[in-house]
Amino acid sequence: MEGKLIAAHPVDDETLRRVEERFTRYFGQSVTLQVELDRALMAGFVVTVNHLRFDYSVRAKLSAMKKYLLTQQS
Amino acid sequence: MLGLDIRLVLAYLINVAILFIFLRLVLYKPVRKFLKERELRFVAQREDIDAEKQAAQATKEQYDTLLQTAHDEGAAVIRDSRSQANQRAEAILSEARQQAVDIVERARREVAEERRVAKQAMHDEIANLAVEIAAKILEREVSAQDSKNIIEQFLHKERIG
Repeated sequence: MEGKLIAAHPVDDETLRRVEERFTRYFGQSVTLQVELDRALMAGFVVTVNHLRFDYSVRAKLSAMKKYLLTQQS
Repeated sequence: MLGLDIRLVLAYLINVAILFIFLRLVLYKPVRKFLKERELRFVAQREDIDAEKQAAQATKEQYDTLLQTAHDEGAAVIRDSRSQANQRAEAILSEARQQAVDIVERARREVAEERRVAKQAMHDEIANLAVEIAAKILEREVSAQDSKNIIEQFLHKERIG
């Protein structure tokens, strides 16, 4: 399976290998990730495999925080 | 014997009798008839006057009754009109009071709703601002090491998702 790893900062090969290994275990089949950079993520990363998205970015945390705050009644 | 002539006395008596008869026939009866007629006319006039007086009195009483009735009816109409006007005024006042209460209540609800909307808008703005400030700080403060730490945390999690 091929996927994409979008990161806020460059990812070294060893870290990439470990991430691929983690997703390989998760899906039960070999996962290969292509790395892209996106500074808008601020920090962290996003992995997309087989139309599934795993967001571990600070931008996602901020969005979740904003959504939580806006859904709270004043 | 007393120097009276019986024939002369008889002649006087006859003259007096004749005069009496004459006067009675010529003067007394017509005058009496005239007086009787006059009296009857007076009585008739008096009766007429009394009748007219009674009729006038009856008419006056009738008018008085009508006047009193009209007065009573007028008073009743005024009383009813006044009563209806008072009831109407009371109804208008009551309606106006209710409208005033409704207006105040509506205004209170509108103010409360506007306050709630404004509070919510302020809350949302504060939330947006807080997130925006946090984003600015994070953009400035986060480093490659932070990203690496996040990846390490992910790798040490037992479950994905």
